[in-house]
Amino acid sequence: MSRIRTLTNGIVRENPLFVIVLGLCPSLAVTTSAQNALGMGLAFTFVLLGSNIVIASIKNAIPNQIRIPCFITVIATFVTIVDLVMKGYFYELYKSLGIFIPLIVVNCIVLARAEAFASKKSIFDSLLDAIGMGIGFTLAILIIGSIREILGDGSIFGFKIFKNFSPALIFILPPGAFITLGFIVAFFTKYLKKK
Amino acid sequence: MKDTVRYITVLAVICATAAGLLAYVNQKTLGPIAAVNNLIKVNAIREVLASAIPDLQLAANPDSDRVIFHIPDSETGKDKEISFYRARNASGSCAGYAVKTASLVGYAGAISLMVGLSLEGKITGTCVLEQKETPGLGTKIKDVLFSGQFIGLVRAGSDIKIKKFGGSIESVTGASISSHAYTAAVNEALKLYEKKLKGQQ
Amino acid sequence: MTEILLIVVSAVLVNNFVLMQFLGICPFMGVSQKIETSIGMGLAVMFVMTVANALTWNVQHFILTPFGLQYLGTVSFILLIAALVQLVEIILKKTTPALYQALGIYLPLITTNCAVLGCVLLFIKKDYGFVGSVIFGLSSASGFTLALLIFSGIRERLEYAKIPALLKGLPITFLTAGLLSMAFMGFSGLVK
Repeated sequence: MSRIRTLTNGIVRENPLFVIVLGLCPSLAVTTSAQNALGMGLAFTFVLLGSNIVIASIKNAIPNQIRIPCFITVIATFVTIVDLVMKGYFYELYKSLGIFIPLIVVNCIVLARAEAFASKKSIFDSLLDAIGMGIGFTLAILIIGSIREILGDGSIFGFKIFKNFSPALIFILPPGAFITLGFIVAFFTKYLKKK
Repeated sequence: MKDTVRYITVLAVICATAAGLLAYVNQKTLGPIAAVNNLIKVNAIREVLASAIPDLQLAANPDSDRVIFHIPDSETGKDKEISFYRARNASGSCAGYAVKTASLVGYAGAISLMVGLSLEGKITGTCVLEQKETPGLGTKIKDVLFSGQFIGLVRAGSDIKIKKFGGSIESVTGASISSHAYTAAVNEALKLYEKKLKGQQ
Repeated sequence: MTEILLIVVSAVLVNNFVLMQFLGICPFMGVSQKIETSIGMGLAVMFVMTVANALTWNVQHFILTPFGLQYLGTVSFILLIAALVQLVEIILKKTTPALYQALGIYLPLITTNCAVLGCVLLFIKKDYGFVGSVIFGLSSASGFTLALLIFSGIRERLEYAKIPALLKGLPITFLTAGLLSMAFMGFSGLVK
């Protein structure tokens, strides 16, 4: 039972983006379209999965005082792997995500999960936690990306959904990111409080 | 003291493992990355020349069959590289050029383009290679509605200009800087072609 | 000279790290409640970013590029930044306790400030040369500090404003940031 909780924790109750409000930079910067958001979410999930598993399995060998540099190295390694693989096999996506792939290293969520969860729990639990958090983050930025693309470009995943619709360009420009996230967080907080 | 040694050992082991793993992944992805970059170039060259040279033949790596010039950018004076890729027809003789050119004065930095030229110096097509313009405005320079206007134009003594500057090119609405940068990059390719390459195949 | 001026204006205003490039949003939201803390954070970031840029430029040009090790860039830069922050903390504590008192709590936060790593990764792509890179670091950090200061000024006023219940707290902060970012958009096209 508690295993299921570990898994679902990150999706709604402790959604990294809407509830804990961490990892804002990529969620604002690359959500100009649903496709970019999905790509970022998957890259992020892979890194979180890899680093959580590795950190959970080597946690006993790492002295407490130098744990942060060790975690960062592990995370940076997985990030570089994603970066290289994307450059080779998903070039279009790589181009639109830009420097935000290497910046997953400093995404507070990854380090926070390593510090708060993986360095204390078993490998299997850390795996579940990473999957939950990864799905939560991916869903969250996919929602932002979809809203911004629909309002700002009148399309979703690149397909036009409205005819005779003049899009509010502001939503795919930087201010639109802040405004969209502001309203989403507002509704998320309200909804959760009611419950 | 003992602790310090332990810290250093642990960190060194982790770093060495990380470096080893990355070296392996890097080795594995080197080929695909080079292939992707090459493919993008080849596709761009085909796009701008396909209509003019139906029997277009390209070297597997177009870089091996090109002429490179370094000129100062007309507006900023910074050095920039312009490459002329030779486009050969089925019989192997040069039938035109695909020019990789750039303008450093887009709305948000450099815009680089591929411009197809016939031997007489007529534009056979243009396409964007890289740009960072405003999404939804400047990015429309990629649309055929805009880039298609250049097909068939020649540089008859004077530069190609957007309407705002008395020319014939209809700018992208709300993005005259991006549009102007586009024409500037095209003009530089044409000028260089006339000066250095025209009539000496 | 003009080139340096261009780097400064474009990094501070046109491509403002926080409002245009979305780098360093977490500290931007986290420490902007008071002007005082904003100044502290801003100064700490300016210092670390400038030194980090100077160091990583050397690493990139004398170690990584000559040996073809560019793929180790991200790993080595983040370790370098983490080590640098630690070092600064130790030195400040020993030499100028007053400054340490003021900046101390912000220093550990800087390692995970994506603005620092982002700045390092950006200047490597831009190929500015050593002096240009250091200036780029300093001016990007100034842009960060500027945005932080303006924003904390607004937030201090917001405390006294009547805000709809739905938007209280974080949401109104995001909306404010959106408006501020809109204002900064006016600068784009300033440097061609």
